[in-house]
Amino acid sequence: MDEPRRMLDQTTSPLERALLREGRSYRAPSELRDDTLAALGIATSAGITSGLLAWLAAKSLTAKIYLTLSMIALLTAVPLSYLVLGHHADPASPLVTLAHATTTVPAAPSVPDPAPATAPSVAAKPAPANAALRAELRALDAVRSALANGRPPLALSLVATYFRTFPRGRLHLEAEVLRIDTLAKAGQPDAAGRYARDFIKRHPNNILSARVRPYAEN
Amino acid sequence: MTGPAFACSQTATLSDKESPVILAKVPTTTARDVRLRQMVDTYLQLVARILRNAGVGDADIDDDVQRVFIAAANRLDDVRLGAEKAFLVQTALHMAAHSRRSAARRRETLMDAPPDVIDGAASLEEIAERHQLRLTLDQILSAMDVDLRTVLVLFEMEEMTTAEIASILDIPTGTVASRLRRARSDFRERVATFEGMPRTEVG
Repeated sequence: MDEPRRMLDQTTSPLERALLREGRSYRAPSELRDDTLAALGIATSAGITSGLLAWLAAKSLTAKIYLTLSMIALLTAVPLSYLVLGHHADPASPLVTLAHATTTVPAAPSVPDPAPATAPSVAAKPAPANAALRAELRALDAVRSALANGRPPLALSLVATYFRTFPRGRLHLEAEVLRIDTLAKAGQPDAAGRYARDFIKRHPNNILSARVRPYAEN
Repeated sequence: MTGPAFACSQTATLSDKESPVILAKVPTTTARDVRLRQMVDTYLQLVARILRNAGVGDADIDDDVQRVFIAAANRLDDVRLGAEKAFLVQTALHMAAHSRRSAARRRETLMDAPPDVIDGAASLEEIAERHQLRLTLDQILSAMDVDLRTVLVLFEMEEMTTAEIASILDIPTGTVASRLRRARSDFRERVATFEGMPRTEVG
């Protein structure tokens, strides 16, 4: 069967032509790409750029090696600890120590940093240590943003994606609390209550239990 | 599971640089992320266009685009290499149908939708004209039968072939051709109605 010609190639109506072109030319905002990748828990180019700037500013060889591995982790979504440890790394090596550190290598003064630098030594303020944790934070930020914008169904989808993407994530407890919030706002109070009671049972002394207690008691 | 998205395809979407050899050396989660990222980079605008032309309002496009890719992420293991486009198009069409039903329940009107992305270089007249065109197109498409509208959008706006459309919609190519003829006739009649109307009545 011969393929028909496109209407746009054969119409003589200016309005038809304009309407078909309008349908073909629709474009979503450019920031939707990064938002979608964040919703999927995948690193964006912004994260890669900040890693590169930090690499250029790093003074020590160890820091440069660490940051190189961080950028590889960011690009490939392989957890940094996997790249460092693999099957060969010496647990006592400085790289492994850095990979397990809870503080980041300090950025040079020329690198834009929302948190003010307090000293040339390693910063005392806790900060994300690797790309995987940053990705977790972005994923949960996307959930909070969806809730704040009054979109509980989207927030539920994003929570499910977080648990699937980060089965052993460091922010699991925060994600569980967010899930309870989201279920309640999505009109599922029974499910929110069940999750809340289970959370309190498993973490009776955790400060987050106080946050979900109202759902458990309703 | 059957369906066009799972049809066997010899075409891999990964470039030579992202060969199975390289993917085999990294954890499965990373291979998934590489594939998902490529799907987003390659098909995000396609998904957004299909959603928009299938009746999703501007206010809901961002959410629905993300939902489509989240659905893809959750079903990725079931989507064969080379079938990503078909899967995303099918999912977008289902998402649009759901959005239309939700909008009907909320009794939203297209007149309330915010404008599309504004081209900074366009004049006010061009922006107003494009907005009017979009409203007109939305009105025409929303009045059409869903099956005819879908074929029209996929063939005339996404420039897919009848074979590709048949595969995505899981219908014979003869049915695609028949629906396309009726869709074109319907579209032309509705456009002619607009052309005969005074400009103040359009939109």
